[in-house]
Amino acid sequence: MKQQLSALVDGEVDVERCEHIFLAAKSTGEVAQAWRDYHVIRDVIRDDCWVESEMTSRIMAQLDDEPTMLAPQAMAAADKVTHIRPRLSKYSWSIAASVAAAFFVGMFVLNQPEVTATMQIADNDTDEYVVAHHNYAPNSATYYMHNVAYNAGE
Amino acid sequence: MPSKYDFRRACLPVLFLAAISQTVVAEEDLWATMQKTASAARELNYQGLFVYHNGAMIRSVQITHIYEGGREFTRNVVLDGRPREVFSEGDDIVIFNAKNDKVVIEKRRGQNLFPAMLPTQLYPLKQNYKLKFVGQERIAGRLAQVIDMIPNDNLRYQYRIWSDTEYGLLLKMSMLDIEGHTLEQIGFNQVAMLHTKDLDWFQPKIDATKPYVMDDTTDLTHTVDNLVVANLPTGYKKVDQIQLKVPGRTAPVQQLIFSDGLASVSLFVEPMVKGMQPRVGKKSMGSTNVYAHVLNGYQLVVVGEVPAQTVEQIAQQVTFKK
Repeated sequence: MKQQLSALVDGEVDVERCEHIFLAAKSTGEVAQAWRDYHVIRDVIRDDCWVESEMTSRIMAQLDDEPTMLAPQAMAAADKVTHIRPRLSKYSWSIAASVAAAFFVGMFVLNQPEVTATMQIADNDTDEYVVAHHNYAPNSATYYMHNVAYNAGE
Repeated sequence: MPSKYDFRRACLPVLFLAAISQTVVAEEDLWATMQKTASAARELNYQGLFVYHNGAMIRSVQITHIYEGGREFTRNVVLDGRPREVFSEGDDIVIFNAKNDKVVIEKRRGQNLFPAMLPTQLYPLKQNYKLKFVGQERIAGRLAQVIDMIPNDNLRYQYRIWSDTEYGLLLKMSMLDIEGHTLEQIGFNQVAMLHTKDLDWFQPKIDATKPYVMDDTTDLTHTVDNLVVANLPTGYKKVDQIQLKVPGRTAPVQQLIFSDGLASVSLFVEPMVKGMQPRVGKKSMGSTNVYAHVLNGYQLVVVGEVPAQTVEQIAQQVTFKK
């Protein structure tokens, strides 16, 4: 598990395929700690000196100030943290954002359109539309691909 | 030597004009080749084996095609993966699809399947693509003319076609992205002309041990409604609108199909109902791009073998008439 986590932090695996890592990160203290440790290690390696406790404490302070936890405030918190670490790409930030959300805020940050607009659709979400497109649209060599989606759906 | 320079200066415009007129003539000739290629796939009798590549996926297909009395008969047998046979007679397509313990029979409408990929009406293509002669190559033991179809903008991919020098049959076709990477490729490994008009091959291999069932999950009704796509990307036109009954959905799904003559894009529209997970975002799989968003309580999904920019532009242009 820790190996997979490390790979995720280094951006070596597909975020969409890491649901189980996020779940584990949420549920067991060991993995959660490892998540923070690996980020620190990575940042040190990349010469991106950033102190781990700073982010945690800042977010906790924000949350303490705002007990009602409305979604726009959650976004504001996310934005502020983004400014602390400008070297991270938007994409890798979305990993951290989802984990931060799972840790501290709950799932509703994910429902904010600002976040979802740049999201990639999950793997199987639109399969049925793709199959329908290949079935009924003309000029489609992808017609022979049909089988793939069929297999995926079963 | 001044006289030499004068001579060059005098020659330049002439050479330049000659070069221009040559390319103009060549392009007209190339369109004539394209027209021959579009017709040959429909009017010749042939049998062969072709392979379709898309990303990591490869499928081999055996094809038999006969043109008899103004009607086209085709059988495609997909040799890799799940057994699948596709029969077409004119625009009617019937598919025998082995699924676990049964064979599902599906009915489809006319599609331009390989090698009949080019439309017989080339006018829309002329608006959106320029042709360039690349050279000659051997494909499946046949000599082919290689022609590039270069798009006028970045709203469609580039295509390269290999047309049999003698018969005009499309031997191979590939789709390339803006950087010139091959996204999709389909081409014969072997092909031969048939001298028979016998149709005894035009029947499926029946597996007596399995039940055959009709697929009735989709209902094709042509509809018109209050949906408007204001500014379609340049060169794209709506070619069809159908209504799909999808199992597990209370309301039918509208499917609008757009095409620039070669590439096609589907727009799916369905009302959001309680418990339905909204889909928002984009995705790219090989040559296929997907863009999903929610508008006025409707789920919109755009899917097409076109650049990401094109599916996004179509999705952004959808409005509902009052």
